[in-house]
Order: sequence, then C-alpha cells, then structure tokens
Amino acid sequence: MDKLLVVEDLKTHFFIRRGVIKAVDGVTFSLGRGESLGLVGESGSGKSMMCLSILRLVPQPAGRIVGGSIRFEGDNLLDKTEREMRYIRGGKIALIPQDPMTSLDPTFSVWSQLSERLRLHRGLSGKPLWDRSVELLRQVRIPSPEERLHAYPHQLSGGMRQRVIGAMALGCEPSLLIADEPTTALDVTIQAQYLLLLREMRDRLGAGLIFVTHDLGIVECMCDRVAVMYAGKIVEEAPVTSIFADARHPYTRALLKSVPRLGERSERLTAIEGQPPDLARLPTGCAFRPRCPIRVGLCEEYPPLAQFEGGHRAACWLAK
Amino acid sequence: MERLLEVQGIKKYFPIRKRGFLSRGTRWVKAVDGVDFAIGEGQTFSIVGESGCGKTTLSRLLLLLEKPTEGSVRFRGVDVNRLQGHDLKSYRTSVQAVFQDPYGSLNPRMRIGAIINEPLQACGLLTKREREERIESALKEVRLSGDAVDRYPHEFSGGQRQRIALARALATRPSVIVLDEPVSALDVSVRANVMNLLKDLQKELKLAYLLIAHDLATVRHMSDYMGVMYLGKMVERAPSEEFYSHPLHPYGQVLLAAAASRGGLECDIRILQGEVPSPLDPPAGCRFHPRCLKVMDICPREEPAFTEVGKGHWVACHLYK
Repeated sequence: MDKLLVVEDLKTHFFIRRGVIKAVDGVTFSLGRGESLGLVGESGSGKSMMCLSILRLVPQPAGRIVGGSIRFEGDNLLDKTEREMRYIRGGKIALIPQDPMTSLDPTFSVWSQLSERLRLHRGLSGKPLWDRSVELLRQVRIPSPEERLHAYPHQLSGGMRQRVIGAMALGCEPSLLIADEPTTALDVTIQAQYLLLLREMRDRLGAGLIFVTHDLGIVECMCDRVAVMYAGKIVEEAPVTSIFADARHPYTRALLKSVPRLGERSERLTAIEGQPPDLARLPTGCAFRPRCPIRVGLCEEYPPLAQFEGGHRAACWLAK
Repeated sequence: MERLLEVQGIKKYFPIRKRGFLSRGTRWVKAVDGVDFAIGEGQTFSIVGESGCGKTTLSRLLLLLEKPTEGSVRFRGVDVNRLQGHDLKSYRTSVQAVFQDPYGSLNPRMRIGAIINEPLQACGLLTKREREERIESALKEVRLSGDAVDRYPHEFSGGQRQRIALARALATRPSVIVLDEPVSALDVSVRANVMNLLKDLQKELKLAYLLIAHDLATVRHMSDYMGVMYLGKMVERAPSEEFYSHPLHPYGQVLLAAAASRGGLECDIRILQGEVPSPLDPPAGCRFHPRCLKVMDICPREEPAFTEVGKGHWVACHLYK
C-alpha cells in the first residue's frame, strides 16, 4: 500500500550544557491515508518533539534532527529547502496545537488569521476568500460565522478558539493532520464535541491523523493504531483493540493499570514506582528498566522492537 | 452522618461595576448561588462541573478567602464567618488546602523546611522545637526523606512537589483538606501514586477531603459523596456509587456519558450542544435548559427545587417530582 508518511529511524537530539538530550531516538513508524495513529506518552517522552520534527520545526539551535528520514507522499522532508517546507506546513500538513489560548495571536482578528493561510497557500482574495472563510467556520460549527470572523480571540470561549484553529487546519485540505493534545485545555462536554468534529474532518479529507495525547481513553475512540513512547523511543505499537486487550510491554501494562477506570471502583490503584526518566541521564539499555517490575539482567541491553502477529510491535525482551 | 463541615445556602456574588456616570446599578456574577452540602469526618466529598461553574469559588469560601454574600459555613456546628481571634486561627489550622499546580504553589526561593514551617508559624501556637518535629513528621507522612528540608522546590519532580504541598497542609494537623484538582497537573504515571497516598493518609489521620476535580474516573475512585455543579448551582448530590450507577439530572448523565465515551465503555460520543452560558446572564428557569436533551415546557419558566428523590440522592430537575 502506498503510505502517506513513513518515518524511519528518526533521531532528534538537543545539545545542551548538561549533555545530549535524545528527545526522539530512533523512531520508526508509518501511516496510511485515512488512518489515525495515537501517540501516547508522558511529558518528556518525545511525542511533541516527534510532531515538530515532522514539520521541521524543532527549536534551533539547541535541537537538531541528526538522523533518519521522514518520507511524506514519497519525498523525504529532510531534503526539502526551508522555502519548500513553508508550502508544506499548513498546506499539506496541518498542526492543531495544544493550547487554543496561546496559539492564536491576540492582536489579530479571526478573519486576518484565518484568511492569511488561504491567501498564501491557495492564492484566494476578495469575495472568494471571504466566502471560503465563512464556509470553513460553518464547517467547524461556529454559530453566525460572518460575525465571528470579525471577533478577536479574547472574545471567544476556549472551545470556540479550538474550533477556529480547526478551521485554519482544515483550510487548505491537508493530507496529514497532526493534533498535539488538542483537547487537554477543554471541558469534558466540549472535549466530546471537538473529538467528534476532528473525526469528521479526518473522514471528509481522507487525511492521515497523528493524535498526540496522554489519555489512553481518547485514543480508543479516535485511532486505529497506537504507539506508546517512553524516553524518546516507541516501546509498543499495535492496533487499538489489541493494545487494550493484550498489552505486551510492561510500561503499557502499568500505564493501563494505573489509570482509574470509570466503569469500576477499585480500592487502590497500581502505581508505577519511581520517577519519569531524566533524559540527560538515561540508564543504559531499556530506559524503563529502573521502574520495571519484571526486569532481568538482559535489560541492560536495549531490546529491539520485535514484530508479533497482528501488526503488534513491542520493545521488551520478555514480550511474547 | 457526623457532620464536620456543613455548608448551608451559600451564595457568593461578585459585583461588576460599569464605568460612566449614566450607568446605574451594579450587575452581579452569581458565582455560587445557593449551595448546600456537608462533609463527615474522614469522608471525601467531591465537586464536579465544567470551568466557570463555581467550584473554585466554593472552595475559597470554605477557606475563608472570600466572604459569602449569604448563607453560612459551619465547622463543628459553629458559623466560621463569625469566628475571631484565637478561634479563627484554630479554624484556619483545621482547614488546609492543596492546589492544582505544584509548580506555582511552592515558592521557588524558599527551602522545603521553610515552606512547611510557614503555616505553623502563622498559627503561632508552637515552639521552634515543636515546629521542627512537625515538619519532620509531615515529611515522613508523605513518604519523603527528612533531608528534603534543606532543598529547594526545583530539585523535586512534579509528583514529589505535590507531596511537599500535601506535607505543608498536613503540618498543622487539619481535619479537612481542600484538594483543588490535586493530580491533574501531574504525569499520568505518578498520578496513581499521589492518589494512593491521599487515600492512605485519609485512613491514617481520619481526614475529610473536599475534592474538586473534573475527571470523573478520578472522582469515583476517591470519593464517598459527590455534587455536580452547573453555573453556580448544585444540580445533583448523591453518594458517589449511587451517582455512578444512576445519575438522575440530565447534566449529570451527559457528563458521565462524555467521560465514559473516553473511558473505553463505548465509543459513541454523546454530544451536548452548546457551551456553558455566561454566569453574568444565566438562563431563566432551570439554568441548564438551553442545553438539556430532555427539556420540557416548564423548564424555562420555573426554577426546579433541590429535592431528595432517593436515599440521600438530591436533584434539581423538573423530571423528578
């Protein structure tokens, strides 16, 4: 099958005084058209840096992509010039950032922020530009879009702002949507509205979706496959159904167990011992080793991401 | 139920003054508009609701950081807003708080020892020696080593900082702790740790918690009783198991459905249309009626009374009469 995005052995490192931070360290995955991949991990596990790497927006000069390749629609994005990247960002790959409060510029109206993108990427102007903007706001179900276009971000609620961002992402009909924790800042009922909208957007465009989150529950209803990241590496990747039924990596299992489930009341949660790893001082071998309940001597060497049946991959010596 | 802390008909209105000499009168934001509940010794009462529903204002009223416009907070039978002098200090030591963000709630320029010492010094009852002992025992209670006293907050991770904030709350030997979103700023893998610690301490020290949270799964895990708030009103109050098995108010049902669709029970996302209206201008009648899936003719006209429909299950909705 012709894959939309193929990331191979991607390495994004940060060079700081304390040493080298391997934010993304040898990540390999692929994504087909119309497919959604959930990227799950704690803060610092490299999931956001993964997204920024795909867009080639890694903070300079400390951070650099030091190896690997990102093939998008057949071309390696790492070979593109900055000028070419500008057409891809926002045009073919759209990012929906986490915080709708800070990702809109408070000094510009919705109209000028939304139309800027359409003008640059689509060359629209005048009446067609206006009509398209209204149409986009209507698609993300913003009531009375003509009036809202003149509003400034502070005049909109959180859910409404996130919709405006959604409209901006939708604007150029991208073939890849990257949503970086798009709902963490929203209330539960608004969250549900937004997730449904996001699913709709994906289906209408037939676009690939990378959905970054730390909430395994959201992944279950949004994605086809899940990749769990820990300390810059993918430790497990599987179809959604099999990760919940049959997690193979001890970190995934522990993560699933440590979250209270709505369906039942448990007396005690099974907590994961220890602290999230310090990326500048990672242990040798498997990074989860110090917190792992089933570690063995072999874990001092890094386990390969082994392939199991049903498209399940896990990086653990003990995974069967 | 032994009532430790009792809140009766409490209201808090914030004035909004218009500028210009032609404008007359003041408009009010009814942040909390007539809420009743009680917390028993060693129990957890949770309040859930979306942002802007007044849950934080309610917690500030309990902590005496705001004066109520009307109504009362009674602690062991005494109205706390009438307390003065020594009694007031003793109330303040009995009710402590842990806030959401452990990065913001600990002064980065103070050592851990000084941070925990501050409330002890403020209550002014203890000698230096006793305070040191308290600090040491508080750190032990939250499972941190004693050498933490000479270190600074930046040396600790998020989970550890939240323990320090908890140690500060425990130091004055309170009987009630207000937990305002205690785990939502923490990493998923350390949340379970902090929640377990909170439950252990509750058993050991017979603490009562007022838990404010928006994550319904966390709330179910932690609480004995719970209340659902919407635009300053409590719309449903019940023992928490009762609420999770039979939510009655349409808003409670929708909240639970929205949470369940993310909790793996079902992937059908039931959608609540619209957003929370402005508390400056709440809808007439039942405040939830513009978004309600089961709205009736009476709803926009008359405000439903908060009535008991089952054992300890209270709801404000015209569907239950």
